[in-house]
Amino acid sequence: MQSSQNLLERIARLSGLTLSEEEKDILFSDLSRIVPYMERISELDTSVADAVSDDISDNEALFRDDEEKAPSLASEIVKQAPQAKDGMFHVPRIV
Amino acid sequence: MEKKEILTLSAIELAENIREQKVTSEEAVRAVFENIDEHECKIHAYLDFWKEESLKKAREIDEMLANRAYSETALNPGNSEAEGLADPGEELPPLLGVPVAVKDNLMLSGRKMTCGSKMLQDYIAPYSATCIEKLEKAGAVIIGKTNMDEFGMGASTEHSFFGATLNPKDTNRVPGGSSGGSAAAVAYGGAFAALGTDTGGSIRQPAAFCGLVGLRPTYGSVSRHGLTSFASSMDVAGPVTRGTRDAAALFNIVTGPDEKDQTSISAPKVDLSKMESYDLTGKRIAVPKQLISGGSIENREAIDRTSEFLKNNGATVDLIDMPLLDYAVAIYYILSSAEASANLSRYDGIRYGYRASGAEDITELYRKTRSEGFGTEVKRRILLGNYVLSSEHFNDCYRQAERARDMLKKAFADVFSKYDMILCPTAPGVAPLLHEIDKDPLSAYIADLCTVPASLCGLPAVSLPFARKEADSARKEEDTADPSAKALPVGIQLIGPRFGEQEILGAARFLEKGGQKR
Repeated sequence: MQSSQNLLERIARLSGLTLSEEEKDILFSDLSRIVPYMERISELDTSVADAVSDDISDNEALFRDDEEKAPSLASEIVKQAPQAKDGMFHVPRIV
Repeated sequence: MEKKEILTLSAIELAENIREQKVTSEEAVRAVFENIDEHECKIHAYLDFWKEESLKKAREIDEMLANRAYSETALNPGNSEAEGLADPGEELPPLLGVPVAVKDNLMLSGRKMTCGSKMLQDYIAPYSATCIEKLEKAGAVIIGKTNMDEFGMGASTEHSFFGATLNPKDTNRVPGGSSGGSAAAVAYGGAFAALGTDTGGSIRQPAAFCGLVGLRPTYGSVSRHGLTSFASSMDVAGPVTRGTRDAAALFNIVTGPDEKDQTSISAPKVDLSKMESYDLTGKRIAVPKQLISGGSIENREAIDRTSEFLKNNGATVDLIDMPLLDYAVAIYYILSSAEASANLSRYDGIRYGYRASGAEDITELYRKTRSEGFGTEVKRRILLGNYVLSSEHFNDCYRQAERARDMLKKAFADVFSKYDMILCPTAPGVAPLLHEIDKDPLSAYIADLCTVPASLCGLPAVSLPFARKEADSARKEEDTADPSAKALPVGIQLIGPRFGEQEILGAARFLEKGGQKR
C-alpha cells in the first residue's frame, strides 16, 4: 500500500466518507496491515484463469416477463424517506 | 406437556406434536418467551420481538387445528395476496405453529429491519423477503429479529450499533457472527430455529461457537430477494438449528427459484428419510491440510477423532494439498469488500435510512450521513473495497482476485471429481473472549480461513458440533492456553459440491447420531 495518509483521504473521498482524526489513525494503522496481506495475491500466476466477473454462480440467469405483478410499493417506499414532499424525495439544493 | 419437555423438542418434532395436538403452538410460544424474559437482558440475541402478536398467531393456529377449519383469511387477516397455510383436508404445513427467529437483515413486512446499523435504525420493511414468505407459508410463527454485526460485516456480533450479543455457553465470550443473534437465540432456547445469512461464514461460525448446526446452502438455492445486500455474489440465507434434521427441513422450506432474484436456481430438496439411512461405506472424504494447520488443540482433536470415526464406518479420509487455499482469505476480502463498497453506496440519506442534519449541499449531505451512519468495521470494508476498485489497483487487486477465485473454483471441482465431500474445522478455535477480535482486524479476517472457500465457490457447507466426551475435557491444563475453553463447543464443517446438501447433511446426520460413540 502506498503508505500515506493522503491515499487514505483520497479513498475516503471516493467512498463518500469524512473520517475524524481518531478514525484516520485507527483505519490507517489497520489498512496498512490489511492491504499488504490482500496484495499477496499478486504472487499468483493467474494466466490460466478466466476473467469471471460476469460469471458469478454458473447459474443460468432467471428471467421474468416485464409485467407489473404486485401492486406498486411506491407510496410505502416514499414513506421511508428522511424527507418527502408530494410523493417525491426532498433533498438539499443540488445546483 | 411441561415447558421443560417442550423445549427439548427439535423444531420438526415440535411441529409434529402441534399437528397431533399433543402440544399447542401457544404453549411453545410461551415457553420460548419465558426463556427470552429470563435470558434476553443478559444475552441480547434479539433486536426486536413481539410476544402478544406471536401468541395471537399461535392461538389462531391452535384454534384452527382444533376445528380443522383452515382458512386463508383467518390466518392471514387482511392479506388477500398471501397464500393460505393449508386448506381443509390438505397436508398441514411443515413448521405449523413453531416459533422461529430471523436475522435482522431479512425483510419482514411492517417490521423494523436495522441490519444492526444506525443507518437503518428506523427503517420499516415495506415487503417481506422471499425466504421469510416461505417460512410464514410453512406455518412458522416468526417471533423476532436477531442481532448481527452491522450489515453482516464481522465475526463476533460485537459490531452491532445496538450492542453486542453474548454467547449463552459462556457469557464472557462472543457468539460468533455475523448471525450471532440467531445462534444465541436458538442456543438459549429463545427460538426453536432461526434463519441467518452467510456471506463468508456468518451462519456456520456462530453455529460452531454456540454448539449448533448451521447450513450455508448452495449459492442461488435460496432467493436473495429481501436479503440486504453485502457481497451479492456470496450472500445466501440459511438455517441455524439445534440438529441436522431441522437444518434440512428449514432448507427445504426456504429453497426454490424466485423470479425476483435472477441468480436464484432450482435446487434438489433434501430427503430426510435418505438422510436418516445415510451410509458412509465407500465414501471418499478429503481434508485439505491448509485448513487444519494452525488451528487450536480442540480443533485438531475434533478433526482427528471425526476422521477416525468416518474411517471406522467405511469411509476413506485423505489429507490433500490445496495450495490456493493459502490465498482464500485475501481473495475473499478483496471481492467481498469491493462488492460491499458498491452495494453500500445506496446509503446516502436521500431515499431511506439515516440522514445527517446540518449539511449545506448534497455532497456534504452524503458524506455526513455516511460518516455518522456507518460503524468503523463497515467503513474499513468500504475503504478497502474502494481501494481495490480504484483505477490504480483494479487490475492487480480486483481482477487478480476474480481470476484467483476462478482457479479456486476449478481446484474444488477437481477435488469433488475424486471425493464426495471435504472435512475441515469451522473456525480456528472456540469462541473468542469479548473484545478479543476487536484488537486486530487482520487476525479476525484470517480466522475466516475455513469458511470463506465455500463462500467464494458457491458451495454448500454445514457446521455441526463435535461431540466431546467428558473424558476429552480431562486433558492436562498445559495442553491449552485457555483452560475455560475446554467445555466450549467446537464446530466441524463438511463442504460439498454444488447442490450437495443431501450428501453433506446425510454425513452430518450420521456423525450426529454417532456422537456418543466417538
